[in-house]
Amino acid sequence: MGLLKNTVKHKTLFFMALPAIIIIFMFSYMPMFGVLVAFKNFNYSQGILASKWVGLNNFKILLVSGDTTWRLIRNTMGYWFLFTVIGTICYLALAICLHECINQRFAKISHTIMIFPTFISWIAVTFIVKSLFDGQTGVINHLLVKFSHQSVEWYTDASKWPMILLTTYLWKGVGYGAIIYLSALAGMDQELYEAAELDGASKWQKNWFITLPMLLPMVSIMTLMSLGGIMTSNTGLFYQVTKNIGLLYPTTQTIDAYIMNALANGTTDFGMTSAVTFFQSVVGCIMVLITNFIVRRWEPDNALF
Amino acid sequence: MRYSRNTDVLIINEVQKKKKYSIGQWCLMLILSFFTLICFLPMLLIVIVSFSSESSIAANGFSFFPSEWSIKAFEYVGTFSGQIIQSYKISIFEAVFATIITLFLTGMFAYTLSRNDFMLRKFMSIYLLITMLFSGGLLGSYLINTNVFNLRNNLLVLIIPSAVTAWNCIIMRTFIQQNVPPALIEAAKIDGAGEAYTYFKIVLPILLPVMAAIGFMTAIAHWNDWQTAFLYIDNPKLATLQLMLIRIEKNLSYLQQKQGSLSPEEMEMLKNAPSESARMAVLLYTIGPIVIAYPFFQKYFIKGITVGSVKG
Repeated sequence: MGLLKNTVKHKTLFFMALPAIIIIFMFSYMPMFGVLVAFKNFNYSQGILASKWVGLNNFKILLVSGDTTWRLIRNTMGYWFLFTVIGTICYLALAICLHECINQRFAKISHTIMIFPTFISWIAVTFIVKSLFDGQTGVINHLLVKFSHQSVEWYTDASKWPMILLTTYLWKGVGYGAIIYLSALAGMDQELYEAAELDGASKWQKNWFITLPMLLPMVSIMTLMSLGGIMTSNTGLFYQVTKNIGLLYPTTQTIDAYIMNALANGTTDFGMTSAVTFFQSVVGCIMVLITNFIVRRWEPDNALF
Repeated sequence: MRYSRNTDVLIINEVQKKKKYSIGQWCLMLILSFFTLICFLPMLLIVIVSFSSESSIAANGFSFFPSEWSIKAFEYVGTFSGQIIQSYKISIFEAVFATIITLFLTGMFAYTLSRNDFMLRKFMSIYLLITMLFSGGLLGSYLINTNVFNLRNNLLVLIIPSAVTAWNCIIMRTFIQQNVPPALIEAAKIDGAGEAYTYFKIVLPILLPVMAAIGFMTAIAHWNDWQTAFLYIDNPKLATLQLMLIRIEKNLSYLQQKQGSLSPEEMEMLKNAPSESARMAVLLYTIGPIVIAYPFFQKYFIKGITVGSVKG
């Protein structure tokens, strides 16, 4: 009763929140029910509600085409792991380098340039990667021919792509990723360093024994936070940059790239796609819950709920 | 950020500067320069390629040192300008309206979330958090947008579905809680201000920094968004710049694959298709606005990220 009275009393506030509530319902909640097509034999003309229920039939397809399923899951989780580990190391290294640099104007300019790739689109990145790795006109092949007289067909050789994708990801994200650690470094207690200096600690020792341990909580929080996205991947990187080339699928196709490919081709067979989506959503949900549980135990201030 | 440090440290810095850089500092600057260059060179390559002549690309491939310079690519872009201007209009429309609507809705929603005396806010917070937990993914949104709301080839699909995100709301709410004292709102109420007046006239001016941060990020995200247009827009008149780039690439690779068996019309299309350098020139046009806006907004978005990190 109190709630109703309170809402009536603050009806202006309620109406201020209402548009957002409606939009969240339409575009966040309703798609959750869209996932239910995983249990249906979806037919476009019949719509979601009228299509027939088929129970777990679609998930059988997932098992039957086990190779594809396994490949998608392995790639998605593998790249998440690779990006998180190598990414974090690079962000930390860059943040410490920028922080240690005495010439702060130089550090600022170089950081500004490094952040910039974050703001160009994945389509532009696709063009750039192509101009570097293209078989005939690419810069890298040109250099390879010049120095070792052999060229590599990058766009048909799947084994080269984990490295290319990692480099692209780091190139686009390293400046941006370092921002958060840099601001953490700026807020650190200078007294510790002064004390260490009195005790005769060298620069390396100070970084190793003071800076890194102080950044560690931040690192764990950021890693835990990204755990919720372990089943998602960037379609820009895995669908566009790879140019969606079939030969590269073994090492480049992730769950989102697979779904994107299906949707872009105007697929009418939603069986496998919907089953994969359902799997992705459920695992994502479980991961967020686990993450939040750990964070709340450990650092309640950073828990989401 | 460390860029603005307190005066004591600045003095120490001055002293150290006079002392000359140690070898370690030189190495550090060398390493930083090296990685800055790696970040910068690929972007420079686009510019150089767009100014290279076709024959030098045909002979040597893309190169930082083309044998012959040319502005032909930009002349070509002139002949192609109808589509570019149209796409520019659509992209600007998308970025501007999406930013306005996002800020308007997120601001009001976050404000109500921050009000302790509004009991419904607890339910609204949970309502918002569930969207972070579970999502329909690409497929869920696609089915709902096309099958239920019929948003295919409708510009609203570029703007509305992403207007309210949990992450933006949380950043905004945290900022309000930290920067708007409840006493201020209380005082406004005593002076007879209504809720709407309090928000728009008193609270909103305080929110300017976080509005600028979220606004910049939203505008950039929409400018760079290719996925929504790619999935929902087929009509070339409604193509955003990113979609236009995708279409150019796609048409070209389609024509090249079919090379042997082209109809006369398609032969004509292939002949008129943009060259490598022309495509890079078109690309430059899409990146240009970001290059111009970036320096002005840099400090705001850095603030935005740091605010967001205080409490997730």
